[in-house]
Amino acid sequence: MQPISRICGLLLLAALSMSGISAFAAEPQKGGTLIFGRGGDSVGLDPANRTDGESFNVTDHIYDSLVTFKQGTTEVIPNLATKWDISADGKTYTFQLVKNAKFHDGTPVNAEAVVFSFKRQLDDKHPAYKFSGPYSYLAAMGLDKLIKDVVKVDEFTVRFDLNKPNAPLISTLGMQAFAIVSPTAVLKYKLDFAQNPVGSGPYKLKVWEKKQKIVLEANPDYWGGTPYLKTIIFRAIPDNNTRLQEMMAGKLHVMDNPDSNHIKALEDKLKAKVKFAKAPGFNVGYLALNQDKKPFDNVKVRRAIAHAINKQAIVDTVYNGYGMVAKNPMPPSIWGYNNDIKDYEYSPEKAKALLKEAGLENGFETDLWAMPVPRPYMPDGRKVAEAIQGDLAKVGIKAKIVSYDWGTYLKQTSEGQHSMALLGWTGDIGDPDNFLYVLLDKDNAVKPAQNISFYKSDKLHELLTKAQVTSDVPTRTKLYMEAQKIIHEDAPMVPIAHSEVVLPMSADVQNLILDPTGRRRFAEVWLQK
Amino acid sequence: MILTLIAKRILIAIPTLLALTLVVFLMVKAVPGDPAQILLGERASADAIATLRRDMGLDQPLLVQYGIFLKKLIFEFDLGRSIASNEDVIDVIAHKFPATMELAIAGMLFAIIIGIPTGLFAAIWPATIIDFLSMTVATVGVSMPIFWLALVLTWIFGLELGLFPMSGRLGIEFYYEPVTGFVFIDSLLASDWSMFTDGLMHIVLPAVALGTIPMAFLARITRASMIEVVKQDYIRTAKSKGLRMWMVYCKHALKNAFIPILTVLGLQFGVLLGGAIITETIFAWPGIGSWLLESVNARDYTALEGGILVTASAFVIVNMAVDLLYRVFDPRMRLT
Repeated sequence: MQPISRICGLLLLAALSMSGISAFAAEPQKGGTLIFGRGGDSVGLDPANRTDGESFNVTDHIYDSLVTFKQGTTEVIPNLATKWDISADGKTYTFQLVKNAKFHDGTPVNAEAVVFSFKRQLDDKHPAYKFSGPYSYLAAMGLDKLIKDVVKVDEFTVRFDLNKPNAPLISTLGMQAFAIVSPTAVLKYKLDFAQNPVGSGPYKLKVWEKKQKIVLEANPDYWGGTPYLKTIIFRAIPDNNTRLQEMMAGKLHVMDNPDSNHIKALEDKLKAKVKFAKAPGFNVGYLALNQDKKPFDNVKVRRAIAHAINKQAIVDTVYNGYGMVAKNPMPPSIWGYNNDIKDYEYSPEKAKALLKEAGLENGFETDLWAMPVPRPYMPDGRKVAEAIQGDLAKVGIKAKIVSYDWGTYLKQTSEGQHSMALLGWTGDIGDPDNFLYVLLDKDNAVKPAQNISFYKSDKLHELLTKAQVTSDVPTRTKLYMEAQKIIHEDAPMVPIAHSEVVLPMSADVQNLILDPTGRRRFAEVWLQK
Repeated sequence: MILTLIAKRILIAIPTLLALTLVVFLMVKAVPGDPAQILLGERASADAIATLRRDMGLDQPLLVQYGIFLKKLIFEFDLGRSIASNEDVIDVIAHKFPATMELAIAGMLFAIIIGIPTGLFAAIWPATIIDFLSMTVATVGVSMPIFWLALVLTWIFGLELGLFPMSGRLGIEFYYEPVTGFVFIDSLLASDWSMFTDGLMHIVLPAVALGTIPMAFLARITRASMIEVVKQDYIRTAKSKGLRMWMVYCKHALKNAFIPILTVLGLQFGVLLGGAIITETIFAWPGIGSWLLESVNARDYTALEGGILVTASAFVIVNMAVDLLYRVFDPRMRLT
């Protein structure tokens, strides 16, 4: 009898935990206030000049873009643009806009507003150019060089003229930085637009008490239909433990960035009243091996280092298990990920053998740069560096750990001062180009470089540039699969880990799906009453 | 008389404040790291960084940059716009400094209300169990790490007992529109009693966490200073005259023992006005300390210049006030 009741208990437990994860099949309910506790406040609510996630998490609700990503995926879906045509040569994009969209200030969303939203970033003579900026993402995504002009065709049609074809563009336009803003409001608030955001999104800003809370209220006139939640409150609670205690006390619906030991604490305290959403992070943390410096020009040495590092141990200790070992320079959640690649397994013996083949059986001395700040892709650069230092010592490589403040670190590594350096990348859009081309193409190995491995492969360059001008996804997939194979063979970097995101929420929160790009989106969330 | 004195003090303070602007300016510039690079992040191109440096005036000689800074400060009362958030720095300070000030005052009130009587009792009954207990409290208070104390306070009084809110300045149901920036003053002006009470509940835990170290200092200095004073002849005379004990200690002795207490009080209050990074972080208090820390990390020159200038000026002003108060307690000083 006992075993059976135990099995029953287990089944019941399994059922309970599953019901905790999956949404109830109930009808979505309207109304209610959702309180989201996060680690920091937004810096500004003009998405064009922001780079911090906490700002985008809010602007995502206030603004619409031409296109957006389907919740929980990187799949591009229409937003303000109902449809678009790409010319045969790939250099002209024509967008049809929705006709019933209005900004929160009552002015219409039309072709002029779209042209304004882009021109204020692109054209330094535009009347609103000086009100914002620096336009970091415009430059980072290369749109300043790519877009020749943005033209109003008629009231609800906009045309983008490009200097060359670029397949990832359509995904890029879904980024927050390219959201459509109200021209009237920008010209009215000028330098203070970031404190007084006006978009056409499902929520509008009601109150912003700096470093305390941002209150968003449902936009009753939203062209896409009123969202479920009436109010969303973003509370800034910088201390992790205080945030945990607020969650335990039932004062938060969703808690951002929990520590690994918080999960169990929450389960113990709240039991069935808490559930968790989990998603692989959209990032990669890696060790770049600078090929401009000896002996890293030798592929055997690079492979030896790949064999010498115990990645699993790093994931277990530094990432606290919130991560997965990386074998490619892009996360598995992106299409085109090559899962057939077999990673260099952890083996000091193989590493030693390779070093011997390279004529370095006695090892060598080098420097290892450690990131001074925690980033989503690497929670503690110093600890990762120390682990790698220990691993390398076992095969005879003496690595000295070097660190600078963050600004200097980025600058010096971009100029190739390092031999080995830790760094990482968080994807902006769901396109392999955003990882492979940015991090490893020879175009980006020019100082100041983003390809800080200074890896210059013509073979890879050919594949990546071909993929950029091809719009057919299956063909592009094939090209990227091949590209990852070449990267694996040449080992210009050691991909270390992709971090994982866990989001605790109270059991009444429904339909909260984690976004792969790290945005926290509540526009489709509802509360079970 | 007192007005000329105050005027004199202020005149003396002006060169100090001017020197302060130069020191602050140079100190901030000496922080390593290029703000343009930090602002643009991992993705920046060299062109973009150079353009931004030009826009921000960072390519100008240091002296020219200082001249521009000073001119704007004095003639336009303009500290510039924050590099990181593009907000007017004066506006930011106007929002954050009142929060810091409220917390500092509350913390000092806690320190005074608990600290001075504790020291007083210890001095009245030295080498007794009361003295021992008081000084134990003081020693524990001064040596307890503030982050630990804060966490224990939120855990016990916030989470387990549910007596006080654990973070923030007001509950989420209040939408605070600052007039003076002081929650207590603004809620009184608006006769909003529920906001006033809510603000009071929110300030208790951070004030206790912040006030514990000054409380311990005050207790010890009060005890030491009082023990010196009560040995003196005039106290014995007062006692033998048959004065009631509380009159002897609180009126005659404490007044004379107050100079060192006042010095500690002023210094501690000045420190608290500089913002309390740990307390503000743990209790999500929107004060100036955590803002300064963020500004350092972001190499936000303009914010740092403004922030440090204001906190340092507050320190100078508090010291000036303490100087003037000395005269109230010690008539001998009135002559100088």
